[in-house]
Amino acid sequence: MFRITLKELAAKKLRLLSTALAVFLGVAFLAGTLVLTDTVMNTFDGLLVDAHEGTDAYVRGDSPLDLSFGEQRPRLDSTLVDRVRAVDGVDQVAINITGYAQLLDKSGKLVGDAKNTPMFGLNWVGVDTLNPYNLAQGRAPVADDEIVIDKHSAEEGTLAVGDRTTVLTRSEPREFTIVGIAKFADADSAGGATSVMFTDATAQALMGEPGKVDGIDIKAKAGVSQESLVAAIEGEVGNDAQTITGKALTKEDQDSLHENINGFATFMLVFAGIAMFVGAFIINNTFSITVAQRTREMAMLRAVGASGRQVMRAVLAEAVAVGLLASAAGLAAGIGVAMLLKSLLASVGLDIPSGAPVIASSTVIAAMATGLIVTFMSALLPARRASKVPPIAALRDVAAERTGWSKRRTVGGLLIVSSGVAVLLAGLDAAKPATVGLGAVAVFIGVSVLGPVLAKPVSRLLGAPLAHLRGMAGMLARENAVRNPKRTARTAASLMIGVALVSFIAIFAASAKSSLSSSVKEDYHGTHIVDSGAFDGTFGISPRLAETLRHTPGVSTVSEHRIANVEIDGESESFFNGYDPTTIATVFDLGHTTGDLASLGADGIAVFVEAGDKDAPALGDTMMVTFPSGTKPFVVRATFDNSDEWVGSKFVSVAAFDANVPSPLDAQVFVIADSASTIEQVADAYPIAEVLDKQGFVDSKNENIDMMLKLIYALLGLAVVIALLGITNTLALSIHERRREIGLLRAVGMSRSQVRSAVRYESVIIALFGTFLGLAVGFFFGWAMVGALKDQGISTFAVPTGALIVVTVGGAFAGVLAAISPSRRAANVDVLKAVASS
Amino acid sequence: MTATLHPNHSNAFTPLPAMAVAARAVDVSKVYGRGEAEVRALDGINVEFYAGRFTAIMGPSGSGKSTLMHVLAGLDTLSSGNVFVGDVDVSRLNDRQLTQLRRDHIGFIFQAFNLVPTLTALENITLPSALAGRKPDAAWLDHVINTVGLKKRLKHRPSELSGGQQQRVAVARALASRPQIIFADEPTGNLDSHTGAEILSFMRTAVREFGQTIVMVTHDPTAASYSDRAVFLADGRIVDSLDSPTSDAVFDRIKNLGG
Repeated sequence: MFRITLKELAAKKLRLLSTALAVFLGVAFLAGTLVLTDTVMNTFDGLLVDAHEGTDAYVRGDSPLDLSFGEQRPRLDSTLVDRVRAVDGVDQVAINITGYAQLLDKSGKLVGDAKNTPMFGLNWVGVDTLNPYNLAQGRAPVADDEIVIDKHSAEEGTLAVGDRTTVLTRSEPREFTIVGIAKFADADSAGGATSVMFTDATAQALMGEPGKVDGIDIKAKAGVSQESLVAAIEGEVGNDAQTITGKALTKEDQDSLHENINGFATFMLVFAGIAMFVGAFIINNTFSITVAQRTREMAMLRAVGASGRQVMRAVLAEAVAVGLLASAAGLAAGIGVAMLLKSLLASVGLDIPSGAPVIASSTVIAAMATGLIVTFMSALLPARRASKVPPIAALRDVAAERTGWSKRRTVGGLLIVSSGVAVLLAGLDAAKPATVGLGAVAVFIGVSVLGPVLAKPVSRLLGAPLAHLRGMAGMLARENAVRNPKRTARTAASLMIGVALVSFIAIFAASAKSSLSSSVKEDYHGTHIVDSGAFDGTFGISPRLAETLRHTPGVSTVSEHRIANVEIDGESESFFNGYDPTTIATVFDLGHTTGDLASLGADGIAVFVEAGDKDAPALGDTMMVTFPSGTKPFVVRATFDNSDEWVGSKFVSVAAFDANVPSPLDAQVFVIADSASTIEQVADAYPIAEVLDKQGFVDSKNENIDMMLKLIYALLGLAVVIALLGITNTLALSIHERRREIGLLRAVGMSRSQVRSAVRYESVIIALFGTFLGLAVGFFFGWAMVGALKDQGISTFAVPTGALIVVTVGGAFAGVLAAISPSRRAANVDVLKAVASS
Repeated sequence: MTATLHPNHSNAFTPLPAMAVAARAVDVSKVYGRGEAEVRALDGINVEFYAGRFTAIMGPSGSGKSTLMHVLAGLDTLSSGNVFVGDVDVSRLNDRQLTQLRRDHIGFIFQAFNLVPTLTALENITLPSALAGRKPDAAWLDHVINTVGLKKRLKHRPSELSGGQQQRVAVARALASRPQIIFADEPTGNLDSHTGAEILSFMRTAVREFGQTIVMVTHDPTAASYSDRAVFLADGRIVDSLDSPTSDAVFDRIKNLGG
């Protein structure tokens, strides 16, 4: 039997090629992501080890929150530095002061993109062995107006030693002289971050607090272990600070970085998974068609004594061979994909030092296993069908696949769809992405089970105008599309997935945009918004800007907004807000309020209460808010019932916020002014701050959404390309099967171009069928998602008609593209060979 | 026996007066392969097919009879010589012109795979005119359908028709567009003798009553007996012809050809 498999493989190269291509593309994507992830992690792991090489112990502020890399910890009293220095076993000590600093280039533009990469302001550490940065050019800062910047930023901002340029901090914008350019260990930057390094005094003044430091970096005397050093320091500082070993610090930084990279990897792997899922449909379809076409051959094998099991094994062996070859090729191509993705990452600001690609054995195993398993599983059902071909079939005419409709199929499909819907909705309710994904997969499978039932009526409907307008070619196309509903449905299903996801994303984005737009128009009463684009406290606008605006003629109201990441009653609250309680109600329609906003003071909190919500917190209730510095009780002193998607569900006064969050920055400043230029004359000095009117604000947020959309569309593009391959493959196989019929048509007067048209229209009908299925599923996904996010500010369900029309036209066009090669082959069918009777 | 039928050649059979030539082959050769492997499927054929007559091309398998039909119908190319359908030199037409010629001026009846399985009987009958984007002549169509007795089967797909009914549809299709000439390639090869006789009667009726020209390739003496004239091929040459053949006479001739 194995020899038959091999011969079959050799004979059907083309069919195999397209099957293999579906596996290949998915595996290449998968392997590429894994290789890239490992390479980047490996590079940065080494970089971080180098950076912390001299550190044997690190003392820093303790926090009840699990803070990640870059998040502001409570600061330490600088008197601790001398106490640590005096501990036995300590050789050298360096202080760290960190905070927000945004470098500008000479023309006043931002260097780097704060939204994508961190902005570090640091003190230049004088102790070489404890400084992760090392000078590539120039010298260390000595005077108050001198800075050192990282090499990557210097290149990006075309800044050189000796240049004078502005740096934005929590304080007023200030000019500095660049005296040195440094590398982070071996790399040009700390993972793409912009680093600006000041003298200790300047760093403390601009980013830290007087008399405070952020951390103490310690090198041990020779022969003192990190553990014993930490123990000795802990003996001295006790509970005033947290002391960890240099190894632990390195590990922590590495873990924090891994978490980020793994987040990216998961994002990419989702798309690799989608591609594989689409590929599975195509493999299943190809094997189904070829098994049907080879019914006679298999029956003949059975007739001469092959067992059903042997026939099944022959088909599966073919699948394994294809899976192996395609996976191996995909793995190899994955390295290329990794390099491509690396440049994609670089384009969003992550500066990755060069390093040889890391091909972990786990990557090889994952890529090969996934490719093989997907191919094998997809071929399993067709192989089983092959094993059931009775020997008598050898004597019958080639049996085409049976029609699609059956009660079992309809009931089964509906069951799968409805359980998928239930799982998906439950997953959305519990905010569990994995459950949502599982539900979505079930919906896709269910719809594709139902596909053959729908294929006939829907294709007839889609084909009706074609038959009407395009005559015989259109009519034949329609009839060919419905003659094999299972085949049509399976082919369309692969396109359905891509279309469903694209339209889902489009609907979701449109809903988000429309919700934002209507809430800006209805609920915002200010004239302008000065926006930094910040969504956490790591960067923002210096509070000086708001201060200056308050004294600017033509400005009547200035209301600041600050954000922090806290826990409330033990639950994470990623948008904890500080507002000015005296002006917040002026710039926002807070709806019906109870209590008194003006009385929030230092320990009051305002809470959103939905009208009619019985379990909502009441005035006088106490909430425990955990800041990085510790937990404090807040009393509910006011409630409101509108604009929560804007101002958040809970907020405190700016004064209370500042008392608990070190070095606060404004994320946004809400302003009522006579004109934009009045604000701009102040804000121009702070390029991080954009002055936007209502529409401008909506536009700028929409721009972010559109950027994300483009990225997702590009990644979904692969799934669509694989689906196109599937359509091409199905058509090619169908045409091979129908070559006599095509020959007859040619003989009785069908022109080549009519044959081409017929194939093209058939392809368009299949593609449109898939597109409409996809639109329906995408609609549902969008509706479910928008419903689930109602409480998070997505209040309206919007249908982007234009975008969905583009998707539909695109689907039809995809059909045309997929038909190019099969239609050509159909037009070139040898009439004589097809009609010759002998 | 005289073998070659040439316009100037006097034959035992005298053509009816004013009998036009519907198709003719002039010095037609078809050669496959080269050198030692050379096979002459058609070897200098000259033949005329008269309009309004039913001609059978006979010969043992490998004699070139099917190749001759394919060449006449513009389905296959020539190595040398010329083929005319009416006044049109088929050998000079390009693919597009050939397609149009087949669609508008030639009818086909094949042994099998005559019908498009996705189309109904009626759609199959009107296929050539639909391909041309024309409406068929309704009265004529009705007449043809009645003649072959398909009135009640028009909405059926080929898979719902018997072999004989399928061939009747094929005959109706060939007649529907009133082509200059119909080529039939073993039209009864897949049918039992009774059904085959029925189909052949239809074809003869079409010639007698509608004045249709039919050229039929067959190896079956009984089938040939329905024709007005049988032309015999052997080894790519025309070796004999017989007017108003009976099956016995045809059988004798074939035996004499030496198989």
